[in-house]
Amino acid sequence: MAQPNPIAADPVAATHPAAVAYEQLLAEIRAVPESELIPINIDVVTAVSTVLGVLPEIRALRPEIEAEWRRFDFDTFDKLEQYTLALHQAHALWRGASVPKTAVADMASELTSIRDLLLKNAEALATFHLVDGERLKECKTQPGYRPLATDVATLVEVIRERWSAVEGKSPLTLPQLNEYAGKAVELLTSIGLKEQAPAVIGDAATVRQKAFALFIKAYEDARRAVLYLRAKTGDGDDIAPSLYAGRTRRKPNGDEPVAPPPGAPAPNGSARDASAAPDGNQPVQFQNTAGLPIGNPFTS
Amino acid sequence: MQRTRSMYLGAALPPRGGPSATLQVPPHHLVTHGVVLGMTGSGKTGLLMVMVEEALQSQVPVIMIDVKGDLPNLLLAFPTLEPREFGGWIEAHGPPDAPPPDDLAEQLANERLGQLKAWNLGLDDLRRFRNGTDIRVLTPGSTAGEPLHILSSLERRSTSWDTDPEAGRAALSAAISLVLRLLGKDPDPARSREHVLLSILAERRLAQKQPADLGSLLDEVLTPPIERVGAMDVDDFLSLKDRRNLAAALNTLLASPSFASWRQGVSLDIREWLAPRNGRTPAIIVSVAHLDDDERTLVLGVLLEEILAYTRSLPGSRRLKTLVVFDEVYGLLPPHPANPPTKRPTVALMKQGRAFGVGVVVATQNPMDLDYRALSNAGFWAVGRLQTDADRERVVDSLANVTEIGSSAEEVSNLIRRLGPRWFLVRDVHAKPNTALLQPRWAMSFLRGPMTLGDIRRALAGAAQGRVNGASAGVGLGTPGG
Repeated sequence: MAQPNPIAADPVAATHPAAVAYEQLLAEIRAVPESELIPINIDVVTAVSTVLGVLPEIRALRPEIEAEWRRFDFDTFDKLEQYTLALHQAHALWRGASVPKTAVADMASELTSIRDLLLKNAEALATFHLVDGERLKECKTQPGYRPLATDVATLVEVIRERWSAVEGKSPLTLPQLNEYAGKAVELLTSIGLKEQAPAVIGDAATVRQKAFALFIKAYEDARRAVLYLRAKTGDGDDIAPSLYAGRTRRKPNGDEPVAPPPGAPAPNGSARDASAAPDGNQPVQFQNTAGLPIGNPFTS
Repeated sequence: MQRTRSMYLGAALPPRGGPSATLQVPPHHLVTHGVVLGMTGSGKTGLLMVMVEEALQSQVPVIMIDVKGDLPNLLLAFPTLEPREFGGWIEAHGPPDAPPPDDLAEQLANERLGQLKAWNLGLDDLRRFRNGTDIRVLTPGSTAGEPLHILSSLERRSTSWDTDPEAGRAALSAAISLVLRLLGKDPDPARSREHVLLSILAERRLAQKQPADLGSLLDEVLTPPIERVGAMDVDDFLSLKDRRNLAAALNTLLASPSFASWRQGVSLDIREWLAPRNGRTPAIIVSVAHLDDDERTLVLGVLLEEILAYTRSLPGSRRLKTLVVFDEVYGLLPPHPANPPTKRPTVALMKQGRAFGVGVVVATQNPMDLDYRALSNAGFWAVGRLQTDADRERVVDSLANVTEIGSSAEEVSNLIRRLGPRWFLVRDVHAKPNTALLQPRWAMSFLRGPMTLGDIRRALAGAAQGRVNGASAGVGLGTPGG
């Protein structure tokens, strides 16, 4: 059952970049087969913030990636931002759909505090002409949950669209703004969907998981390319960090072979230690001295 | 009795090449718990069954939590390999263009005989295994196996209230959550006022050494023997109208014939379950494959709290005294912040069980959905073929820094990526060397696939009728507990 989109009814929320990306990619997201789904075990909001933060540096490496591998999947690479934003929106819609009725008032209470915080910051920034003060006049003019969510979405956009000027002059951070925008979407969704059947919640969960699958694949492919490209400088993990928390950062050095991304030819002249551990190119010999009914443990 | 028999899991090869050997794992290596990972078709279920069979042969009682339906295949460890023993199981095993069932049964019997012999197992081993094992299948909410009184921690006062009140309280909370779920109400103990009230009333009765059966609680819900809940009057905490609704719902549940199936049968008495009968090692299969996701999670939450309480009642031991096996732990031990009712007791078991000789083995085909912090101390890992790069990446970091093949995550990833079907990369921190490639031996149990309630009923009936040729059934139908 397709999930009705309460965001589309809201003019401000509908133009939110995440909402736009979501609508544009929804057909592609829904087309992801069940066999490609990946259980979600990382915090989606953190992952989205991380990727949006490192996207400029990853994009800057595009010419080098293209020079190295002509067959690299640039369709996916170029859509990484869209996949990320679409996931952000799908996650917020799912959160909103999952909210029990009794929690809507709590969400609104939290969002009221957020709105007031954002408004104070925005007004201070507007005083120094760092953001568009005219749009602030639209805020806090109507009561109700929907206007509240719209106010928060507006305030986030007002600050975010001038982030290059605002950064460092406000205690707010980009991840915070993304989080607040997500909470506004959650409230709008929970208002719009609180009378809907549980099937809607199931659909929101499925779409979220499919959006996550697209996002992870696109980011992993990009990350593998970056890691391979920056193997000698050792800063690949800083440019495109792993999204799985708690990992030890690996610093590849010139002697440690790093697997090239899919579709890329094996690099020439990479250092191979003769006593290196088994990899895809070195045959390993086994002897079945125990006489048990076993074959080769490897497929390649 | 001293248990020195090692568990023969199969054939081992050194990852960098060299001679094969049998992999013999002392049972006490599983006191620090095990993790088995592998996609569908990787041989994960086969490895689990081998581990179960070997633990039982080492006289270690096993509790098997059957989520997918495969574990009751233990009932199909036929002690002879007469073709007729495979009779009713062939049509589910053979392809559509297979020979007639009788021919196929003979073919299958011969194949199994040959393969088991190739793995150095014979008919004597099969008979010894079945004669020495007492298999029970508990089916909560169903009479296909032995029904399980899943609310016995609520309705029959457990001795844990005298020795470990905290464990008693946790088990009580899980049981009340299950009742509220069956009523269609919020089962969350942190959110549900109904849960809080029922818990207070039940605990009050249990503290007075009275049972907290639903009938008694129903009366007290309507006319509470307490005036306040926390800082609020009871009528302000949960109004008379809401309490009447709750009481009416409880009454409907009590009167419901389908609910009766949850309140009859074997008590949740882990100590009784694990006591050997007639000198045989108990194998307790708790089959929940027929339940929906919510019921399964709540039922297993109740069960695991009882297992935890039992564990804490044991004296300290370094020997493996009990093995708890999950055939699929997806959704039961998810990463933070998910917190289903199964997570707390499972994490506690994995932290505390080793001090009391209780080992836990969890298996899954979804390595992304595990709380790896809970598994970080597991001493035995078996990783088979994994479906995606994301799955491999998730597992690799857990293994890379503690294997003797070096600290390279890439090497471990390469090994796992290239594994063939029914091969596993095994890490056993207690062994030297601690890493090997393992192909599990053939299981003595006929692995015909997931068993329905009807299959379970048929397998138990067949064994009870003595269709097992020339040997005692080794299958206990048990006496419904009271």
